[in-house]
Amino acid sequence: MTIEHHGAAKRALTALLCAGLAAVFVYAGALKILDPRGFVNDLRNYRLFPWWSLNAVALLVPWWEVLAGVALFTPRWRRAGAMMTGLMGVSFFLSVSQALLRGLDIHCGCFGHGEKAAQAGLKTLAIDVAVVAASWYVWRHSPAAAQRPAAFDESAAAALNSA
Amino acid sequence: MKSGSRAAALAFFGAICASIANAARPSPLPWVLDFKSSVVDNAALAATFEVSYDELAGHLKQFSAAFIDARSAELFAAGHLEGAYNVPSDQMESFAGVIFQNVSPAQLIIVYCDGGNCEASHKVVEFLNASGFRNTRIFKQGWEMLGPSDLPKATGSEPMGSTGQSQGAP
Repeated sequence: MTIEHHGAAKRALTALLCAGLAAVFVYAGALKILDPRGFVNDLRNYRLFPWWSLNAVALLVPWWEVLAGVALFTPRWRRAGAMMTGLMGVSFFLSVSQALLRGLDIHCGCFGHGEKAAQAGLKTLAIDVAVVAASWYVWRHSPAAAQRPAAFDESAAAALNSA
Repeated sequence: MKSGSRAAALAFFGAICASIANAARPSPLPWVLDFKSSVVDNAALAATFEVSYDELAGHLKQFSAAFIDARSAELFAAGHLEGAYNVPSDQMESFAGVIFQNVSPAQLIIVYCDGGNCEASHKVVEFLNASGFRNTRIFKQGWEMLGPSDLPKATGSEPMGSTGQSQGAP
């Protein structure tokens, strides 16, 4: 495989992972935004957050999910979006892990609330691991803003001129 | 660190979006719950911990929750949800033993009383929470809705219809 082919494959995989992550996070966030009280119930079942903070977490996290998903579509914000999805993936993994270790039989609250919602279990953990891995890949293989030409740094240019 | 500061900006923008969207709701959620108030006093908190009729019916069908009837022993004996335990709100200490023996602290517990503005279920939930059973919900409409419903019911003073008679059975 040539270097060009290798680069094209990486770009295609990055785009594919971005689309997958964005779809998952925007969908999950939108469901929670539409039913914040249901999400409060799910969060409460994890017995992880203090009571007074449940509503704030339930109001903030869904919007972070949606915005991170949207950011993945924007080249300039892609790394930030991937960082957010990765951090959320890690926190979801830790939340579900502690629930499983404590023997809590609860809905994961990942994709909506109700009877048909998935139970928090090993499948949920596997999804979280996949989310973290995909986020890391996107973050690693998306061009950083810092890689733009340094010629735009006016202070550096001024320092060179004065030398 | 550029992506870090952008992620922080996204998080901040998310907080603004959440504030606007919450304020636009017909009944906005309070951002911080007043945990010093009791469940009975805090309407927002109480609303958070209620179950709908459909949710209750689903749990009853799938045996995925324990049910507590918070009404008096006489009303319980006259008719209750099949499988429900009786913990009258004015005699909780003497009736709760059966819950401690048969229900896991992690199990979902749905509590109901007469319905309307009855406070018995709230009192029982507070008692259960203080006793370590924190996975509790209240069915606010209570027996007022359950009584005439098609859900399986039993009579008598024992749970699970062991000595009572199931009304649905021939």
